[in-house]
Amino acid sequence: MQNKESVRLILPGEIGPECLGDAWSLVPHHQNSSSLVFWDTFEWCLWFGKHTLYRAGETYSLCDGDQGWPGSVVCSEKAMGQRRFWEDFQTEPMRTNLEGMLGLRALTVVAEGRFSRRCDELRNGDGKIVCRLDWTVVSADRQGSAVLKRYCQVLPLRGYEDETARVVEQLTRCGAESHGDGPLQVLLSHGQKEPARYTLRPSFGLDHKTPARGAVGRILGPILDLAIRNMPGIIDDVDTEFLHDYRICLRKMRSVLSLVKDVYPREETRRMREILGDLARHTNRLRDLDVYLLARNEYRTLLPPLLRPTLDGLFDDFTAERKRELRRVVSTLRGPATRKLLHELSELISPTRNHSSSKNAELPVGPLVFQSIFKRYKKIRRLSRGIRSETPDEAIHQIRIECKKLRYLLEFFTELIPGEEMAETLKLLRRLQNRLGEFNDASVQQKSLLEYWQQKKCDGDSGMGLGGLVSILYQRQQLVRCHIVEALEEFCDNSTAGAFKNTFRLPASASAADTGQEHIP
Amino acid sequence: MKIISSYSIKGGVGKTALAVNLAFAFRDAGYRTLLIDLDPQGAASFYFRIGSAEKFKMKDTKSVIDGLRRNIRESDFSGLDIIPSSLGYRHFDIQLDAMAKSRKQLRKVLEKFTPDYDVILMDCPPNITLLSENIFRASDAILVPIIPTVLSRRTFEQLLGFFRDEELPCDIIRPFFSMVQKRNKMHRELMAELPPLYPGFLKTTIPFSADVEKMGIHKMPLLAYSRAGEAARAYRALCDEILSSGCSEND
Repeated sequence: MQNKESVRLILPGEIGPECLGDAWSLVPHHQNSSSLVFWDTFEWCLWFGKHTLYRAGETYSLCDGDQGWPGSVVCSEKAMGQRRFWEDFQTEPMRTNLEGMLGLRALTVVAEGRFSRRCDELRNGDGKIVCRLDWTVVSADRQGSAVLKRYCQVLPLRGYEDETARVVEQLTRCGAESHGDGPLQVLLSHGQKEPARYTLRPSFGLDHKTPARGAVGRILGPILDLAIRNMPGIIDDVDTEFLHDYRICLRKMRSVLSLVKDVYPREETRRMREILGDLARHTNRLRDLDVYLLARNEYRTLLPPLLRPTLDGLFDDFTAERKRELRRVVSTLRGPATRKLLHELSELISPTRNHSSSKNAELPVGPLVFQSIFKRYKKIRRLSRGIRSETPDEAIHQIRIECKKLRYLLEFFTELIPGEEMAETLKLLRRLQNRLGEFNDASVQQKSLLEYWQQKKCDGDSGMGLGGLVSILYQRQQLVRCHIVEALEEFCDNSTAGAFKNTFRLPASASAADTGQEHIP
Repeated sequence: MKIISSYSIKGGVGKTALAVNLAFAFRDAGYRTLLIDLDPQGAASFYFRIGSAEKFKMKDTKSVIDGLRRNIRESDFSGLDIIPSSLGYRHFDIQLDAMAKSRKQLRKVLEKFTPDYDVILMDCPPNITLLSENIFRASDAILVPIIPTVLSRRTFEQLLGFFRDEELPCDIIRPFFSMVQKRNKMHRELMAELPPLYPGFLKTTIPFSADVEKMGIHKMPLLAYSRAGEAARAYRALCDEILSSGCSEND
């Protein structure tokens, strides 16, 4: 069976079926009218995933289709009450489809409107349906009086394409247009909403010769904006990704200030880093609690079924603590102190601010950053030499920090890096970082669970559950350690080192002349 | 993809009614279905209000595939497409005869429709020709409606004889009783006598029904306008039996 392309037309004024005249036998099939509530996430995961989710009455429907034109229904689910996350849905097709698109993101209402539909069948002389017509009037209010747009979707039947073309031609003669905003787009515009791509890795418009201070400023500005955009989501507790992304933005800004040194006067750099540290610090515990609560199901499945209920107390405590912690964070974020810090930071990074001079401010950013990247890589290589299965956790932690710095540099300045040669290397770095992240998570979680155990003086069943969990996390950590050794070997082997050398090591003359820094042997 | 034929040497046994309603039932069960009306009388096409197929050249496999594809018509019931009948099919035998491996060409043609359909159902003309032999070699199952009468039994045995002579696999032949009148003593006797003799006999029987005859007035499959009647239920049961018996499954 072939998928047939339907023709979507936007109708001028109140034209409808009557404009087709008597030449056609139009048989009304059905008509209905319903209020539709459309859902999407902060990142517009569904919109950009070319899907639409709406609720009509007590039914949620997930449709394909893009650019604000809901297409055919992929799956639907009858539901009382609200659904916020993919796991709140009960039916398997809905859960599977949404899980991939939403991840940890919550659904929020993005638009609401009334859809009055009339479906007609167009029949030929033999009484055979040759195409179907779906007339829709979209209104902004529940009563359907504030009409925003009228549409007609012509749905062809295979083998009757000529008839469809003639209907489209006739409607076009009456003023119908095939280009324009779809129903959801119209409702979004009415609500002054515009789907926009969201990324934590925006382009900064840099080139090799951009002066270093200007380049760092161009990185800091958009990332600070991103951090601020995430604050309402934390305050409203929409989902955990807002805090996650907010913290990443703060960390990235802090990193770029220390990785590209001396672009601002020393005192200003110190103050910016201090502000960023203060802003992040008061959210540490809330993030930790989010991580534990998100891992609730995973933790439970690590234990045998009999022991699983023993973790309920732990998660009840974490849930209660999270509520308190959220109240504290929200109050801080809303408070004058945060406002003042953000204002000061934005003043400090403002391109119009008159900074006094600093050592690297006017140097071209390319050579400066390449030197820094190569230096980080060499440091990781050096640190990795001592890594064995019995290496203390701290040494691995140190490599994790260095890898993070290297990754940030590669991300910030990705526009300066020739893509093809580094693509494979970046894959290796990502793989290594995943392993290091797993190792760190297992280590931090053991520590935290043991602290909880001591604090609560857990004994009996809950002590047994916690003990079991800590043991499993320890075993997992040991297993990951072996994988880290392998991943490090890959990342530090001669071919990767060669790629770094070819890409980032500057000729002695360029390095000395352009950066004024010492040549790297 | 499963290829199923509705076939009988004898006419007027409910062959087309079977093809039309079975196609509808498969589509209702969620199978993407293509019904090919190979009978030049075009009754199956008529029941779907579809006119004759456009003429196309049949000089080789490729031209036949292109021609059939061009003639696919979507029925009023989504999930069910039809290739309507054409008087041109009466020349099929001559065209097939001119091709190499003339007895296996149809299978080759139908395999090209594999990605688009789960089931292909063929309403076949009531005769034994080179086209019929192609149909036998292309089908995973051949459904043979038998009115419980002496003449129907005779033609069924003729069909079995042909299969044996041509060394075709007899196990793909799936006979069933059609247009059954339970009050008719001869019907009852033959219905008791035949199934033990032929292991492939399907259990479901299709009753004689005025509802089926009314398909000509409604110009649509019985299952589309009368779901609760005895004959409608029988067609649905036959579809279920075919699906569960595995006779519609690929090797």
